[in-house]
Amino acid sequence: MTPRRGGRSPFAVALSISIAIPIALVSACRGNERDVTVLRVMAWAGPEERAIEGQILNIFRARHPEVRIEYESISSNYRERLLTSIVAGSPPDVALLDNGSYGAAPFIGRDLLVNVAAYLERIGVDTSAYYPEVLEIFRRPGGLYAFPKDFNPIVVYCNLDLFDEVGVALPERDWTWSDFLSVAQRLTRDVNGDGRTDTYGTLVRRVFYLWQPWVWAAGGDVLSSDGRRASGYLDSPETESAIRFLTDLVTVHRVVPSVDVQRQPTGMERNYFLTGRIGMVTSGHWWLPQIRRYIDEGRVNVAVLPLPRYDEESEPVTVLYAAGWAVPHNTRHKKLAVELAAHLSSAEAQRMRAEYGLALPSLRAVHEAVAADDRYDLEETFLFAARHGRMSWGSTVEEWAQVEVQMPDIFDRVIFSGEPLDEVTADIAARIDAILAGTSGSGTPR
Amino acid sequence: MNRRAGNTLVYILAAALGITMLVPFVWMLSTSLMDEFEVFQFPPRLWPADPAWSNYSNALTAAPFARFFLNSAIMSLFIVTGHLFTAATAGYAFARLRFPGRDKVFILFLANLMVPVIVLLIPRFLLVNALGWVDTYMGLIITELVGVWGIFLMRQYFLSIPRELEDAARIDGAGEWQVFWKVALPLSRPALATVALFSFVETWKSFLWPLIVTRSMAMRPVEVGIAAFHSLYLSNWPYQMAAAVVAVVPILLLFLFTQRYFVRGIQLAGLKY
Amino acid sequence: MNRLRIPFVLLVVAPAVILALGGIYSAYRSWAALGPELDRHAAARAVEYMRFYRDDLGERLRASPERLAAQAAELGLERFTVYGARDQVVVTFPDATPLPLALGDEGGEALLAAARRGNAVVDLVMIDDRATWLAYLPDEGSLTAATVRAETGPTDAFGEAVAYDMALYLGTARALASRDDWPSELSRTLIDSLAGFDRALSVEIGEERVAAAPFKDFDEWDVTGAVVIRRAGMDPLMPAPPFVGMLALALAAGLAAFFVARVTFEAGGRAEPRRLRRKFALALVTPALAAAVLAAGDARVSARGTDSLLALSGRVVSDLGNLDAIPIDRLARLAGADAARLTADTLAAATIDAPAEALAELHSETGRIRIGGRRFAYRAVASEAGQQIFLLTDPLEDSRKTALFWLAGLYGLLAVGALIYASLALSAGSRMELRETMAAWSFIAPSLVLLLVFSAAPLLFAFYLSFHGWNLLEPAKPFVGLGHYIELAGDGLFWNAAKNTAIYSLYVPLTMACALGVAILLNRSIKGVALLRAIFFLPYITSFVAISIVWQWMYDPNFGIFNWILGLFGLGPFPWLNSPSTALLALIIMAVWIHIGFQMVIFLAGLQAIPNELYEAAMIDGAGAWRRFWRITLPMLRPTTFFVLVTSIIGSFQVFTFVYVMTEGGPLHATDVIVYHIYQNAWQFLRMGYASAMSWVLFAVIFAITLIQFRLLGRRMTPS
Repeated sequence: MTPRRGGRSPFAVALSISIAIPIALVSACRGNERDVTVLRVMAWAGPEERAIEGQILNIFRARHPEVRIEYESISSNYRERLLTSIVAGSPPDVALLDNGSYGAAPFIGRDLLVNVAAYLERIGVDTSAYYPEVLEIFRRPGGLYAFPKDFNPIVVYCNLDLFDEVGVALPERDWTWSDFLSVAQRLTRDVNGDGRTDTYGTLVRRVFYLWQPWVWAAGGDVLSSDGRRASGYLDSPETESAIRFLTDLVTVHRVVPSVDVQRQPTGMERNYFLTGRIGMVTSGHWWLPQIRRYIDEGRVNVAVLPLPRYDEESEPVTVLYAAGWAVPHNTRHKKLAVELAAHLSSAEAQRMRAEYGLALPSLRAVHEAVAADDRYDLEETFLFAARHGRMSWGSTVEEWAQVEVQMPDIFDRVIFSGEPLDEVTADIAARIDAILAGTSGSGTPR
Repeated sequence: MNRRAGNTLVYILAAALGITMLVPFVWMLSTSLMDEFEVFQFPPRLWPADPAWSNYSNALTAAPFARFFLNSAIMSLFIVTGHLFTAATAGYAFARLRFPGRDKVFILFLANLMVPVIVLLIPRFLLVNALGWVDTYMGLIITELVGVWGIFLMRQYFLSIPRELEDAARIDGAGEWQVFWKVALPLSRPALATVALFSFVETWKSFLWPLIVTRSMAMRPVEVGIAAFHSLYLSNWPYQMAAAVVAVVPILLLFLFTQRYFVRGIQLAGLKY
Repeated sequence: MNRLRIPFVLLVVAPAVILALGGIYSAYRSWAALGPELDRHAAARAVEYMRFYRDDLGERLRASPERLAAQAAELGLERFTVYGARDQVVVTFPDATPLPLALGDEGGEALLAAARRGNAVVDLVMIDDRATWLAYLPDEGSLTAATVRAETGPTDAFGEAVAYDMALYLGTARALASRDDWPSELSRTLIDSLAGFDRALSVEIGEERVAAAPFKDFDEWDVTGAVVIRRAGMDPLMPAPPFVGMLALALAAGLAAFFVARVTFEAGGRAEPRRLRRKFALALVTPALAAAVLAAGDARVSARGTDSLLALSGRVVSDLGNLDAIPIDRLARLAGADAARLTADTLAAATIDAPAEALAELHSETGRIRIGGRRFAYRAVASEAGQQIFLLTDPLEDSRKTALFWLAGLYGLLAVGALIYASLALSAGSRMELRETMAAWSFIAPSLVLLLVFSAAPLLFAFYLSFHGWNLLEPAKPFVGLGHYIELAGDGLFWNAAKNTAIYSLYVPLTMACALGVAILLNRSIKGVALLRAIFFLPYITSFVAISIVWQWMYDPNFGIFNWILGLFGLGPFPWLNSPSTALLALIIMAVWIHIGFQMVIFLAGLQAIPNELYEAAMIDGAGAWRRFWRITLPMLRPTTFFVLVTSIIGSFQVFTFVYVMTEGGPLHATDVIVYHIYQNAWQFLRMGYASAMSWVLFAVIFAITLIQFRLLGRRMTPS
């Protein structure tokens, strides 16, 4: 403890390091960024999907050795990050957009995307090869603002093992809501007699994208046909009957396990389904990769049905969600970026994705080839659903992301707080009207 | 006799409580080794039938964890250095040196503890953004270099040690910096260790600022990286638990070897007012 | 004297020297980079003008090829020919040597193909030292190109040349010519090196380093040419380099510090106040004045640069004829080509959103105007067709002013430091005292400066923000007065978040009770106690995100361990995080688990500081354990309790990570705590002004609560 360690004092060293290294870092950051062309791709993707996108990008990399591509998967606040990066002048060169929460509509509306229509011929893209409904999402008069990637109809997955166990026959494809309910009720059982329900008929999630088709099926809608008003639609008797049907599954019929609270999907329902605790779950094609794996491993038997019709007279309907690759208008590398976006949507890329199968290819030929190869007898229903699909409101309504997040409140307030449905819908409809009118106090980045 | 019985009771009670405290960790570890399906059983399995070590390799390759750790390490290195420097110098000045306005300035420093980070967040972001440091180490580090808590701790510590040695050095003709450097600082090593450990833990755990100031995967520290991993892998609890274990283990190891500093450090600083 | 120097060096001289060195270094850097920078700048602007003409003329050619032909004939153009190959693009500037380049056949074919697809292309070309316009005109399957050469040779001022309308230019032109004998090697290199770039670069061509800007075809698709500038002189439009002011200030500050130092040292203890004061004034004010003059000059030059930029743009615009036909963003690009900060968006928005009254105020031809809280330089332009358009751009001098503001602030700090030092030096009773004071200030200076810059200033700035509509996406940041505070008073979600935060903070007393119990339990020297303490402490030091994930899983209503354990006792199942009525409780339970160890350690420290004699005395008096706890332990722990309470309450108001990871504020906003709510408003809804208002309310509440706690409980707490 004597003060005789002269010379090299630790603080002098620490101090000089702490001064020198930030400086070194700063100068390193400012290094030669100039001589490489970097293309940034922004998307949301799970790890398996990222691996596939990586392979797809490798093809492009091989063709353009001078280009470095950075693929960035953003898992939260995707829309906000994209918006701010475009406005701040450091946009990604290619960005994935859809017609749901990450809707392309506000980007197109603000003129933030390159109109690729002018370049289609030059890069050899034939738009007639796409499903027209999917293409339509990104089309505006005189323009096309993204290359469709893929799309997803919402369908009903059935755990056949559970059906067999209970002795319920798989319903026909033209089933109705009452069939759905009665099947769900029969699947809900206390197997071991301990007073706890062990298997459930179905599952209700508070996220809106899954209830949209039910609303349509009942003949209602959430917005007026021009997409500018919610009151008179969200609180119409038809819409309410659909919402009531879903909430009754929770509160009256008790055929569902607890309602999950997350805005993001927790994946809980998938695991409940695969372990045979839930008989029927509405979801999209993105379940298939895992389900196929489990079918191959002999762990589960699954069938897919279209969503039930409202009653014997009505038509089947479902909702379609689609995504596409867009190029922000202020990219520094327009040509390369457009070429890359087109490549990401090319038949080559779509085939690679379809092999894994998170969604239906937006190129009809690719989709049909995949459906023809189906060993699991599941794709047929998706083709059927695609034929009866309608596009989500996110295709056209610029404020959709803000509108959509209001919807789960309906659910929460009816289920948890027990408020009367018509009051809740009227209230939420008024709130949505305010958002659409641009007078909402909170929540709009406008 | 009575005393022994009392001790036994204490043992039992304390052990029971201790085990309760450990439950989440054990649960985390056991889930991390389970098969994806195994976790969905009721009653839950307490230990996997066949530990699936592959969860770890799979989870670790699904996100750039090495990079996360590197980022956290770099960030912590600089911030801890900064904290040590500022805490030692300012703490010494507040404890040992007389100057006009000392107590007022010290109270101003302490008042900093009352300022919620969220107030500073937006201006700090705008500042760092204007400097072009968003998504860089500079941005992660620069705002965090002073720890008022550390200054307080060091002040308390300096107050608790005798000043005779320092006075002796002064009489020998040493300047204030020499006194600080050669006399006070070597004496304060235990307190410095405490400050270093606490600031390391705080830095390692810091979440809000790194969440905002980093954009790319390559710049995220462990905490933010794990949170991103969480939202990507929501359906797979074993993967998530494996990632959680990986995030927890380094700091746990550090704690194992240094835990007496945590406890003793607080005691040393005395918290006598 | 010697000993005085160290603190002084740290307090005054070192910052000054660092500042001065930094200023000199950056000035040097900018001077060194200035030439190439200017070249790139000029090249970029040339391309910008070329694009403008290309697009404009392209539009016209496409609109009426007959008219062009007729016009050409009328003007006596010699030839009007079908043109099959693509040549080169080079524009010359004053003092710059033209660098002829060609694209070769491949490029020509690409261009032909482009033109066939319906894109007319017009380029300015240098042939035989003459500026030449090339216009490619698709015409019914075949390709027509009009090549026009200027009679006047290389234009003396490029600005003059581009300011003319193409029609005028055609009027002065005589010959039609084509060439295909340019060396293609150099151009290949050049075009290749520019491919994929959209801005001007420094590139190596042959032995030379030149500034080059890529010139793309009509729809900005392929690089078809380039503007190359070799070592040009100063751009007349370019204002004085921005670092002159900075350098001057840095030097001034350094000088001031130096003088003050000299004066103080000379004075020592026996000062002659009046003379000293004069010297001080001189030392501080002279360099400041000099710097101010320099800065004013700098701003002046910048302002003139802005004006002349607008003037040139205005001439181009006024020559254009029908302004309606020109997309506003194109005009913006033209006007903003010089101001890197001005994007097409901001200008277009400003032009369109500017209220009529604001525009009516634009009397003079050029000037400055404030629109929507933002300052613009404007120029009113009347077109041939009699329309009026306002070109707006960021005044260059404003950016200088911002930089100057910061530098002046730094200088002020330095001056104040010097003054404080000097006054201390003069007033100090003894040398010892002075020495100590100086040493102390130098010890706390690093912390103080960092706190000022990264805590105090942001705190005040947040206050400022809270009175402004501040959205990252919008350039305008309007003043809204108390609007945000009024809004949040009526914002149900805000109050809900406040309520949730208050309820959540109940974990603090709960944890304190538990922690105190555990601390008393473990406050004895028995075997294994260290291990137990470590176990309790463990949750606090581990990753909060990881812990949140684990607990989310433990709370799973169906497979989680909680419901299983409770089920063993016949309770449950509880929905935990899934129901608004239990979600917050679930968070509180977790918070207790996390914080118990930390508080326990502090309580242990407190307990061990209680002298044993007190207990012994009490034992002699026959006091039981319970009584001892109430009469001795608890009162003696008062400071510790107080400390734990204050810090934990402050901490509990700032909970974020758990909510972010586990519930995102749900269900039904049941766990929407205040910091998460602010975070959402700031980073998801991008309402930073409103979020700042909320965070200031939070700050005020924390401040008030802490003060109350001090008053009620902490009389003994003031630092000695």
